[in-house]
Amino acid sequence: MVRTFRASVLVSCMLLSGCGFVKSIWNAAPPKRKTVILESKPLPPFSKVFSENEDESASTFREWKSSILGSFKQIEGRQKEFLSREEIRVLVASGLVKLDDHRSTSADRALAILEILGFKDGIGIRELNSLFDWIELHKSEARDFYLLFLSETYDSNRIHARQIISIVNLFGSFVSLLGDQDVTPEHLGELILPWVPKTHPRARNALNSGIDLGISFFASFCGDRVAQHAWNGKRIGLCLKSLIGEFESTAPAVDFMFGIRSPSENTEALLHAAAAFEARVRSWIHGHHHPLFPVSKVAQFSKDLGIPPPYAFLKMTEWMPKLNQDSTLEGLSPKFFVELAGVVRTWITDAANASKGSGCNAQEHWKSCPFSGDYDPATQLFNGEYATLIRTPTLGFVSKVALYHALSGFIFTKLDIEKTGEIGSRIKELITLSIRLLDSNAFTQNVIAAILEKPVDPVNTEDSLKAHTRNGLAELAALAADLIPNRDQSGRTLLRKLQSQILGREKRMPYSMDRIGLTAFIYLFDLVGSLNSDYLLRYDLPVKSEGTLRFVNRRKIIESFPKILFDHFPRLYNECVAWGFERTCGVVFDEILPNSLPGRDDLETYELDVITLSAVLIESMMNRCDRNSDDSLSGSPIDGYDEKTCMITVSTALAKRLMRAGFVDQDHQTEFLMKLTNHFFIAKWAAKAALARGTAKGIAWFALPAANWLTGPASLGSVMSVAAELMDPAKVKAVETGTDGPVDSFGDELLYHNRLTDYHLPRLKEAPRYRQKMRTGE
Amino acid sequence: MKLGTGVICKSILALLCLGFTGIPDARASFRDDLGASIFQYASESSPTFYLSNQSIFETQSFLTKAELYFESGPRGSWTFDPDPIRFHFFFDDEKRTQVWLGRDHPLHLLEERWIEPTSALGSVWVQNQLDALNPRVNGWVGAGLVHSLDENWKLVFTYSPLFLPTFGPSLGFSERGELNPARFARLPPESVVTGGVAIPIRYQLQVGQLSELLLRHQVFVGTSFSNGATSVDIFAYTAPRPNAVPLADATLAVGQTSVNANVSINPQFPRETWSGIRIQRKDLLFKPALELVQNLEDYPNHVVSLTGYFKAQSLPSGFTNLSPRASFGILTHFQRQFDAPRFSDFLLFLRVPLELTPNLVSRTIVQSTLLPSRRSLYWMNEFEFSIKKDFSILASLRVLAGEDDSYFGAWRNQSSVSLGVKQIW
Repeated sequence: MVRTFRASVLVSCMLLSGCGFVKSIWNAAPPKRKTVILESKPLPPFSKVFSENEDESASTFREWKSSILGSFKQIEGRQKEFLSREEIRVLVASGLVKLDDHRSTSADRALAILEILGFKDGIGIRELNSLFDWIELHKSEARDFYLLFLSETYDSNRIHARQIISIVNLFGSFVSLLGDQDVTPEHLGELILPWVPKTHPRARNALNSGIDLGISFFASFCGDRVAQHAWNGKRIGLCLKSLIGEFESTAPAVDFMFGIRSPSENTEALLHAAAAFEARVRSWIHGHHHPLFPVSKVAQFSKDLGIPPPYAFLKMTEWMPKLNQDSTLEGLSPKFFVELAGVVRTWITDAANASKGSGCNAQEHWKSCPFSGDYDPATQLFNGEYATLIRTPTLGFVSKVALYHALSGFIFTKLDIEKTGEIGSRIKELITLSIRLLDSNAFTQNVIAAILEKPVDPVNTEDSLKAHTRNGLAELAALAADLIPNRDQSGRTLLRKLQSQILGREKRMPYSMDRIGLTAFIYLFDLVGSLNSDYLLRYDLPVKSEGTLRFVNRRKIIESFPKILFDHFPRLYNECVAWGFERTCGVVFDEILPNSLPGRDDLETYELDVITLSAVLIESMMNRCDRNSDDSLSGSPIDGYDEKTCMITVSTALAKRLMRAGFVDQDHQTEFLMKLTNHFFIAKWAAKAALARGTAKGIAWFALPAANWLTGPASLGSVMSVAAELMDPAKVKAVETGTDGPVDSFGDELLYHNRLTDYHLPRLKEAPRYRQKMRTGE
Repeated sequence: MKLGTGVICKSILALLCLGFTGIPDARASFRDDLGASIFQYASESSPTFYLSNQSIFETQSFLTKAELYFESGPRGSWTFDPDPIRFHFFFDDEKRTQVWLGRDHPLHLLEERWIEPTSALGSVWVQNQLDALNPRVNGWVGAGLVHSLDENWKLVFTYSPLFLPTFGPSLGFSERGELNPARFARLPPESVVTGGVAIPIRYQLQVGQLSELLLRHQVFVGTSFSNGATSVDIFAYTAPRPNAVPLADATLAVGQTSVNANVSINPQFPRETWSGIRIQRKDLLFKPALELVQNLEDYPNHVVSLTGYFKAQSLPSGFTNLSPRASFGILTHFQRQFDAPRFSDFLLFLRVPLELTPNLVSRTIVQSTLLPSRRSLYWMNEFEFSIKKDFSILASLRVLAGEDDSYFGAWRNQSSVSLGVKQIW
């Protein structure tokens, strides 16, 4: 029974499994039909066409050409060897030609690029051949473009005039492909839009205003050579080609402007090129009708792109009617370029003449070549005591001074400053704007950042410029700049000296701005900008970004400023160390540096500039008054305007201006003391004694002239010491008694108990001075 | 001279007329097997009708065997293939030289030589594969002779001016290049993938000048030794390759809504020269025959078969005329590289009839390709029940299975069952 049952189970199982097997065979699916995988040999990267190895370049080009033409010949449309727009759309939509991850976008892009290239109806072998011919023809220019813009080591300082010519030529030739047809901005936007990825909404949003801006730019730049309200590639191409033809002979001048040609290299050729440059710009502009460039389009473009408008540029335009009579508030006249070309010519001419015979032809390092010629503005600005950028007489220094001197000459002429000899507050704004415009490509960077959907940098925004004005930095810079030029004082006669002693004051205005002062002012702004970046980097100051603003911890600044003084202002540093660092520089710079805002422990990064400007101001006062350059301020019983008096007069005048500018607190007692010293010579003698002793304490005895003369000369350290007492006596007292003093802001606590001296001063006891280096031959 | 199908038809008709001149001959015989069946394929939802007819007409000097095959339905195909169709006679009174004209295989005039698709020579010879599971080796259209040198040795010579390639199930190319393939058509690649994009392929057949294709010389020479125990055939021949080598040219056709790869196929039949040897021991069990054919221009290309035979009266039937003899064996080829799946992919085969009762016969065919990654199987069982001497009913099961890229696996969804009748005259 059991056996029968087992047999039944076994048979049942076999039947079931057999049925399953038959079923699986019966229901077998047919094999999938085969697919042919076509894997052609991958082409070498197209970038190799731009290789500097000519063989590699030629073979890559040949491979690409034969592959693409060969592939095209295997495509059949309705016509032989020609694909219509509709057929291209179908072809691209199939995914065989991929210009984007989305097929529909790919198709839109393909049709757009065809139209941009001028192949409106479609593309055939003939058109492809012509495209390859074009590439072959412009291979060397494209190579320049590729090497310049696609290499990771892009550096604007390395742009050669030849490369600019190449790129302009390339661009001109490329836009010429579009053919002689006027394309409306709207339609051009439709053609370009598919090429702007959807992941870049800002770029898409700003596309039309960007095109509009571009058309306006070319209309203004090329004048009636191009269409005024539409994109005509051929005419723009011809304009650029003509531009190249016009300016080819000015290459040495352009190379110098881009910093890759020494002004001392073949001076005659450079001078000739500079003259040619101005003449070409003049003939370019005056030979044709050039409409005004509408400023509002820049603002609209910025708005659409979602970036801060180029504040400096827009504010500059407010000055344009003053600087150029053909410009209006709404539009810039290209004739302004003629005037700028004159500035460029003056700059190049001065630089070339000054450095003639310096014998430095090094293309890349000419800026660091020693300057051995004679150039008066540079001599006046040169100072051996402070700021690395100004205490080394190099060709780079001379070149910069020549540029700024040419600019200041232009501004003086245009704004009639020479009549008044004074610099108004608006001029300071103009210079600030000009410098920001010159030394920053922040707007360009922001445009690129916005297009790439990266965070936009707030630099060069309205906020950062307002901050300069708010804090009186421009005022401070103007004061410092007034003192920088080494104006000759040797012309003072004995009679003049006695007259000053009797009358008690020098008749010369302590604060005025002549052309060299304006040059110094521009130079100083350039210097301050460079040093600011240098401080953040070199002293490892941590920067915190909040929205469009950047902050740095105030305590860190206090910790770092001794090093700043050590590296850039060695005389000041050494004097402060000799007189007690906290007691002198510590208190003065802590007072000058703004307090952090309530609830914060940091300052905006630009506020570091106050350290530079104040140090320059102090050093310049010393330079101005230390007429015999012995690093001390002596008194003279004969000279009513001796070195000490000079220091008192200059510093009180500056203090008044700083107070009025709101830069330092307006203290009535200090103001009274300043008036006192200027008007009563007993007070002046007391002040002189204070300067020499480094303290105002017990100065009553020294009010007598004889006692005053006994006090000996004053030094920068003693001046700083007196300044510290005047600025915050409580802090000075705490430093002197070794107790805790007032802590008004973060970092103030470092002034007490020798904390700065013990922990934050550089290890070297004495900062090496440039003049000493020169003497010892280091 | 241009040669069209009309010329070929006229030639065949002429031969038929010549053959029918022998009808009054007392030894003339005629047999006709007509079968009709209903087939149900696994791949189809409805059955198809199947008709086959095999006629054999023979006189003293004429022989023809014509096969007709028809299957209904959109994927059905048909063929009418008279082969052999030959007129033969002795050239001399001693009857040492026998000459033939018409269509036949050069070796068929030798005793007990029936070239089968499972043999090495048959596998490289031109075939009719329209009935894909039942291919036949075809003869050449031309003339030949068999000359006896003595009792044992014979010389064989055949010449054909007309080349007919292997016919297989149609792919049914439309004018637009789309396919309407027959059931057992071997489908070409469906699409081409380039750069990750699959494009459907459309085919166009470019046959070119028909005369250039068909008017090709074919020559066969051989010698044969035969005694009671052994037979040896040594032969060589030159002929166009029976299976086309497709010369493809592809373009990308961009239409109004789609893109297709237009593949234009120009079938080429390059000339080949083969030599071969066949040795059979008739005195051994199963009369084993070893056959080797060698391509003289491509030395690694050779085919070997080893076949054993046994006596069986039940073959052929209406559907199993692969060979008139019961046999088993192995067929394989050696090549440097394998392209498309082939019948000779290490094929083991068995054809065995079994007389279960006097009225009931079972026939089994098992063919299996065993080459790694090309394994496949064809299993056929047919039962024939004779109601009368000349009328019987038939039932069959065909199972096809295999890997994707294998000979029978390509048809693995074409397993079928059938039921039919057969009338013999």
